[in-house]
Amino acid sequence: MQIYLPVAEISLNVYLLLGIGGLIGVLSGMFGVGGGFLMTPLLMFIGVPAPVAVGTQANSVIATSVSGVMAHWPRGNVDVKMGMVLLAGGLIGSSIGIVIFSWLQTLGQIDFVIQLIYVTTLGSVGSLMLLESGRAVFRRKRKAPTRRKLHQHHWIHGLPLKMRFRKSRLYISAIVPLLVGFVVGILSALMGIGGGFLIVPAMIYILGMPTTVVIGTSLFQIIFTSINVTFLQAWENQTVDVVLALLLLFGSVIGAQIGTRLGAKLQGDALRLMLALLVVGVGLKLTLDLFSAPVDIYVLGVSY
Amino acid sequence: MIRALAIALLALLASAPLARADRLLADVSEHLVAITTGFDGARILVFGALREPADLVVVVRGPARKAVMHRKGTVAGVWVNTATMTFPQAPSYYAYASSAPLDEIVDPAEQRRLRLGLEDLDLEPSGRASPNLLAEWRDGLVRAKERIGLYVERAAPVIILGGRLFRSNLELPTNVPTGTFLIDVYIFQDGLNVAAQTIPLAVSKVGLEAFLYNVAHQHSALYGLGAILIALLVGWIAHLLFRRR
Repeated sequence: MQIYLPVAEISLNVYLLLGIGGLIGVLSGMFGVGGGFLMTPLLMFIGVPAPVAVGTQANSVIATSVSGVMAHWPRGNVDVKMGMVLLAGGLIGSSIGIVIFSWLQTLGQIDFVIQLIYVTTLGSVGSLMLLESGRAVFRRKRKAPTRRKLHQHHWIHGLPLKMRFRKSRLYISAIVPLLVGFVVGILSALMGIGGGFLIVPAMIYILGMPTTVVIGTSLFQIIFTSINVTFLQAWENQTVDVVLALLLLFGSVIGAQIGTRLGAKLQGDALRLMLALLVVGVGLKLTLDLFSAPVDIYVLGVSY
Repeated sequence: MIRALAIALLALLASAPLARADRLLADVSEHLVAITTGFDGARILVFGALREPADLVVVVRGPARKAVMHRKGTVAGVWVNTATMTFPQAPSYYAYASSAPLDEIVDPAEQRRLRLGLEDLDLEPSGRASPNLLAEWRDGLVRAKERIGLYVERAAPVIILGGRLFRSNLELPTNVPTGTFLIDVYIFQDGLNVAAQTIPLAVSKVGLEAFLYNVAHQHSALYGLGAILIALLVGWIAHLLFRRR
């Protein structure tokens, strides 16, 4: 069954769109990532114009993260205080990111820069996660559980403005999550995504938050970032397609519920290893694209 | 629809005394292609009558739009856009149907003059470059448009019955641009164009599709807030539904 998307100006199969939404929803519920890094390329692959793909996926991520956060809330897995501090940094970062975006656009190399950022972030974040979680899974299998420190102490813990984050069992400087939010904000504005796959590892490895709290908190933060992105995209570029968003939504909210239940059954280490493999996989695919010869060296640009 | 066509054709023939002066009389099955929620492409029937046997070419041309082209090249092994060229007035859609391959029925000079076929399509780039470079850009644009089905070389045959009646089925793809299309019907004798007729065809979104598109473009802030509200609501409702179980 075909449906015409009024803003994307193209007809697509309803079930295909529901399926893509569902897949992203499962990932979102399991890993606490918005799934934008996967949804945007998938939508472009099935023929949605790139700007519409970016704008619309932000809209559908709102719903997924809302139902995700509500599912995590009763389990006490949302650190609102941490989320707010990350968000404050994130909003400043994404505003600066949008300025950088238009500056790159005037230079005429925005496509390439976006591709490069995707490849480097996915590649580096993915391989770091892969190394760490692989080691953790391996260690667990070989030895009896050894008592580990809650987190490592290094120079980060010497910074001023200390704050207590009860849910995360952390007593650290507010500057650290603020900075994490800021950097992720810049990158996610440039990549047109919620930034979950960046913020989840940052929370685990830089802030040292427990995995259980990470997912709920990152989803909480993503609600607000994706609201911001949706509004800016709809207002500035008219690239949000509500019909497309609704179809993706229906698929993804159902997927998210399945994902949350799946995620609760799996070990934190295994979960991280799977996310790492996924991120590395997408990164490798994009790297290959960068080096492989195009079908035709002449391509139609986007004249939005 | 076939019955309606038969009636239309009969009417055409009945008015033969009036049409005697005309070498060509043509019309299309519908003058408005409405893009609704279930839009799955459109089939347009072009039909008409000839005074005497001739060869036919039917050209469908979409409204002129700006087209931006990029050329890719390798920089340190990585493929990037290395050059850009703009065509300010490129047809957004171009397809033709003919009673036989173009080179069999149209004189080459005539084909160039009438800008028939993708080879001779009227595409003027705004930038400056040497003639052969410009030709490469031009061919690149045609290939790119062909890949997405918006430029079609000999989309369908034109069927001529008894040397007098003709019809041709043209299909518009789902990604068809909106606006006023022009359908040109040319007749040729000994390779030379002897008569032509132009029929306008409107392609536009209607109903919900048109409403959403207009709100998105004219009340963008409101549209954005609405989109956000819907997403929040759906997320909330989904949670309520699943919690009950």
